[in-house]
Amino acid sequence: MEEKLRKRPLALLLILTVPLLFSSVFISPPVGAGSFNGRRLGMGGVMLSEYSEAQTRNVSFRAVPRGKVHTSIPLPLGIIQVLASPPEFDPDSPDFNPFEIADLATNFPVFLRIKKPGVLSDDVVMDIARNRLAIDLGEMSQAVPEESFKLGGIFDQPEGGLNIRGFFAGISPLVVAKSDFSLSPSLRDALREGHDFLPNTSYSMKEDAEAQAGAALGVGYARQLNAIPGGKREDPRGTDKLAIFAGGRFKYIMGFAYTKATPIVSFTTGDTLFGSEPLKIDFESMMTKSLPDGFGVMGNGTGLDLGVSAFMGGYEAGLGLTNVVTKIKWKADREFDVLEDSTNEVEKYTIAEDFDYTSTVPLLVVLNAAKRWRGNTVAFDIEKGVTRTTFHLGAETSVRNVAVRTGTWLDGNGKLQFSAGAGFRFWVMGLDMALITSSSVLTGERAVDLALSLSL
Amino acid sequence: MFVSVVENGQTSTKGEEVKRLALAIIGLAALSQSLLYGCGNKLLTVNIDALSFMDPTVVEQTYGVDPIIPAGGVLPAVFEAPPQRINLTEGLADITDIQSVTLHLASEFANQTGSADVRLQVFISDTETDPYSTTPYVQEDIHLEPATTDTISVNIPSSETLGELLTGEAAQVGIRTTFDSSGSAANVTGVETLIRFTATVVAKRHIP
Repeated sequence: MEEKLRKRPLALLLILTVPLLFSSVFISPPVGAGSFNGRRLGMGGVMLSEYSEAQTRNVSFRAVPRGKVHTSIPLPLGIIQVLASPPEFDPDSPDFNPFEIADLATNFPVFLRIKKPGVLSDDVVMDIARNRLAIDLGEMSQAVPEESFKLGGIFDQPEGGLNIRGFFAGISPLVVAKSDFSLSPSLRDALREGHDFLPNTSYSMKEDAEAQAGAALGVGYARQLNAIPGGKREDPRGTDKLAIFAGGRFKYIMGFAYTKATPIVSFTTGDTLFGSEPLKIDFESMMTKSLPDGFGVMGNGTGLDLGVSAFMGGYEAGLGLTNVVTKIKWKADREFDVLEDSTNEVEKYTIAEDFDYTSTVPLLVVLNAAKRWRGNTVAFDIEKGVTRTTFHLGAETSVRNVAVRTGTWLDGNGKLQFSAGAGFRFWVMGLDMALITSSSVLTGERAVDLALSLSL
Repeated sequence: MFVSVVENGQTSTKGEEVKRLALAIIGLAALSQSLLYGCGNKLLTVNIDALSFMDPTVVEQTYGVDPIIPAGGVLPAVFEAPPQRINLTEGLADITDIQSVTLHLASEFANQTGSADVRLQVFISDTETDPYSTTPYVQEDIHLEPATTDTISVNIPSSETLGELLTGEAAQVGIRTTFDSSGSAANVTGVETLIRFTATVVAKRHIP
């Protein structure tokens, strides 16, 4: 990066999308539907109380008998597909395309890709005159964000542990990452709209990225409120009796690593774009970090999960709050990186060492509802995630040993996606298939995947 | 959630269903391979308006006044414009492989008196080298008659070496005009105007 910064700005402009690639690679969720379960995917990824992963988002579901459910095992045909035809990773190769690699990373290849999104790779045209510069990125201009570009995700499953008489304890990973990338209007217009770069104008791009990783030790309690503790538990989904469940979980969080960075790259053109004076590039970044030298706990924190749900006459509704007032305290270092004019090198300045710093784990809120009747299920959920509020809507109808499903959802990038699927059972084993759409986080172009999972 | 129903006597039917399912999966996998997109040409085209970097006194020059181009001149008169610097974009050469380079040049001679055979040469070098010490990238001849206006207009495919110069930080341009007035009955005078001087570099990008 430092080497790039030493070069004149026009070459730099061609690679301005690199931070975008980095952010999308590291923090985008693998699939918008958020699951590898073929049944759930076929229903648009909608959350139902019987899924084990639902217990992470609504702790009251821990007390709800799961009924007749099957363990889902995804069939990773997509990995075979990628191994058979991997992208080019050698940057010196003419076929090297980091957008393709980013797309691979942002669409984790568990599923069989039926239709790939278009790869961003168009001809680029630069017009250069003494006082004129225009860059036409072609299709790649789609990768230049029109507005602030936010990405984020949380990984906090699986949650292993014990469950005894409503009390439970377990440990789960906790990885949270989010990024907010933006360009100045002048730079956005020049790269996205192909407008001329102008004299005496400032151009800049900045990113606000944060990542934290640790493990959560949780202890909690969940029970049916309108039943005698320890009494007979029956599946509430098929009865007309009202069943209300509530639960809470206290979490002690061991923090393993934390980093937050806010890099800004900017430059201001002079009276003449290609005059005798080289363009001055400014780069600065404030970084707060708490990183282990070896294996060890760097931070500690606490948090709370709460949930409530109700069932009656085939209806189901739930509200789950995850990471309520969840914070992690770190001993952190802060440094300021800046491109020095005198040396043309990026210099690092330590601002503070071992100072007390508290990070916040984003609050997640999930509201879900479902109705079941005679082999049919219609379900809906809405989730406030790390960076965006999304929803899922799905339906299933089943006759004997065949089920047909469909669904739609708003993915983490604000794009509406669709799914359709089917399920078959053979003796003790089932096969769930789902065709699901997804959109490239870079281009917005749609892909179609085939998800397969066995249910035992 | 649908419920599994297993009945006696359905083994063969389920086996056929499994076969059909397997065939469907294989078919879908084959279809997916045929739908994969290619990566495109990944070309970078750099259009350089070299004329805009020229000093106005180089763009339009009066010839035959100081010094005179005499009638029946024994030796050709040679005029070399001061080397002109073109500031470009350092770093492009690192991310590209030159595919083609084309120079587009047009120069107008509004000849007033005398006649001459004129040779126009354009030299391009790096900033450390005297351009006139290099081999010209453009060399065109034209015959001028009194009170006539003629134009040299050329589109010349050029070398990878020139492409590397034009994707570097800066280049120098030298323009030499040579007048042979040995057959002229009068002193040669007129105005030479460079009306177009552009370069187009097409390169394969290493980055998207």
